[in-house]
Amino acid sequence: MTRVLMVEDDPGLAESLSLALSSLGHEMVVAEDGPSGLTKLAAGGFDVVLLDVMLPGIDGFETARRVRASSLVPIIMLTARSDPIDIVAGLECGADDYVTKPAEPRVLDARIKAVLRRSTPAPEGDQLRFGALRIDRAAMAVTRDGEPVPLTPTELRLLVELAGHAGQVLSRHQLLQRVWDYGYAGDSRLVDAVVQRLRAKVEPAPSRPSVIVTVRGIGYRMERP
Amino acid sequence: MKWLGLRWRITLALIAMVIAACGALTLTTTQWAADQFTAQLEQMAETAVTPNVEEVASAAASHPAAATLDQLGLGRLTDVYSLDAPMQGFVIPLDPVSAGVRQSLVHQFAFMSGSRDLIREAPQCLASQRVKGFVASDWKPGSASTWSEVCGDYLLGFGFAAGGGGSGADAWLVVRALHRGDVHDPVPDLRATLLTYSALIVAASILVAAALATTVARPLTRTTAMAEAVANGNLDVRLSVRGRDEVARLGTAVNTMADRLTTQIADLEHANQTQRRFVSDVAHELRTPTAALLASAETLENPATRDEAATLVAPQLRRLAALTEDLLEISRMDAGRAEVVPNEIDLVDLVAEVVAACGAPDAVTVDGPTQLTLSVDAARLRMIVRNLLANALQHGKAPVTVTVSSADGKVTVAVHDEGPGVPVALMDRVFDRFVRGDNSRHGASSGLGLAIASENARLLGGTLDLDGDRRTFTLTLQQELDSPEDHSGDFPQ
Repeated sequence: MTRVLMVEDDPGLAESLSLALSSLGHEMVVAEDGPSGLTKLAAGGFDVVLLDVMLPGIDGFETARRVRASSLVPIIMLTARSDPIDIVAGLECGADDYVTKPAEPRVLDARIKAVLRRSTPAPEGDQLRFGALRIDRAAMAVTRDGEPVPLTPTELRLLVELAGHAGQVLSRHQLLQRVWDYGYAGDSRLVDAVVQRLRAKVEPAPSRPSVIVTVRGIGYRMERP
Repeated sequence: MKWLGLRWRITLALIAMVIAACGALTLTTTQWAADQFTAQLEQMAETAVTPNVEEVASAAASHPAAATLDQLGLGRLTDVYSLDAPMQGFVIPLDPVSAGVRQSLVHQFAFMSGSRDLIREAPQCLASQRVKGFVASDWKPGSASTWSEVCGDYLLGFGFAAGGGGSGADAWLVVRALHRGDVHDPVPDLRATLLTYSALIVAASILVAAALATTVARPLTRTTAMAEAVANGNLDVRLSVRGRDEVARLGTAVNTMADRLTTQIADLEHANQTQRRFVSDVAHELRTPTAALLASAETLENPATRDEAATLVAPQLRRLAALTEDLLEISRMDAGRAEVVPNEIDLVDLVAEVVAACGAPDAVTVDGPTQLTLSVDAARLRMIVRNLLANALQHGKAPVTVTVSSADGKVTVAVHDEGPGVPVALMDRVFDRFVRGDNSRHGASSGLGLAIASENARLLGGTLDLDGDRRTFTLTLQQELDSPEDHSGDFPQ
């Protein structure tokens, strides 16, 4: 049983989607705007947030930014706009994934489950060191100079995936498959956006990445420890 | 001359004209001068021969029996170096018939100016047929006459003197010749002068022609460059127009054309943008109910959630239906196929009906007379009032007041609510399509209500305005529709 907070201002859609997702085994809580969503989220106990972009008052992007200020809970943006700028903006605000409306409840369900899988530890439980960075794959915890680094499940999963293949280039497509569970139709901008966020947290100098390097035209590589 | 530009053609044409004019002037002038010179030479020859013939005539008169110059006492004429005489037998077998005198009795003398010898150099000039002027008109003893003839390069002055009437010669003929070469001929100098001036004039005309051609061609070239720039899509270029001539008018016309194009393209782009935004807005509007229906469709398959899902489907379908209806209405209006069918109705009744059907009749109060009839398209008026009420209830706040009134032949319906009012930033766009108070979706609102109401008000010949308090929409209609609004002008069939 996962607890899902859905922030959606259209009552008809909120009701239909929560009924559909409930019947797929999720416990749904609906908030009709950003502030009430943040209040409900503060009470705790949510596994994932479904966030509409077009909200009255504070929009979805700003809400996502505010969620990220205090929480690492996975966020899936729900957008009725397919304008690429919006998607990139959403991902930069800290979203882990996005789904465009109209979305099949099963698709949403699959995205929720994929996000949640990233929170579970990797099977091979060992520790990896990359300079000052220490990744504990068993505990799913990352420290830098002994200080814990707060990572969302998606960021952590991406870091573990890259670290597990250190010195090897992973294409965006491979990363979409392994981290996001996308079969084929994933959006590579998801990878780029999360890599940016990850670098901001783990790189000594995020503007000149030395831990996670871009391999132009192919994907990303984590330098060997 | 197709391959030559306008500038070259104008230049060459002007130069050709100047050359022709100069040539003609030179030719005419030199010809006239040559004629003058010839006449002058003839005069000179005649003048030269006059003293000789007078001398011969006077000598003949005093020596009637003289048959030779010696007998005349004129063995040698004094003033001419080359005088040779007599010359019978050598020259001039004068025609006795035409001359009317006995040949043997005509004594001839030939003189040349300078050192030339006429008899030796040009004997043909002394042939009888050349001496046409020899007519013995006045045959009295002692009479004399002179005339002149042209022969090749020679000007001959003839002098005729009748004999003394005695047994001597019947007549004396004196010929004096001037060679053209001996007299200064002004014609070559004149020709040279004229040609020099012509050359100068032609040279000047080249400069003038080039300058003139440039003043004609340069504005054309600039206009062409500008038109080409416009053709290539650069609409910012304009010509600086000076003067009021044809070229200036062309420049003004091209500038005006570019201005018009710029405006039209901007208008078209604006219309295109509006259209694109409309389509994307429509798609956006369709997505939310579609997403809800899609979600419900899945839950309908599950017996546990079927009943609840069923209740969720109907409102979404109604919403889609309403949106579709609004879109159809908008598209009919855009296509100019919106019909206006006026008939006599009671406005107060109509408002009451709409209020009763608005979903929250208790929140609405109606003020105004108990009856107010007017001739209007009831369906359109109902649509306006319904949309205004829906707007007030959904975006404003109850209580809503509808005030019906009439004054000065005008009927007004004002819908007022107690909400915060239309945001100031939206006041100008409040009647645009898909404009809403905030960036969200509002339940059943399509975002087209006010746009449709405003368009309907226009179709009814009235206006729909938002008052200064931003919470009152006022519909104003003409009560007297004696001359119903002619919409055929707005919408060509």
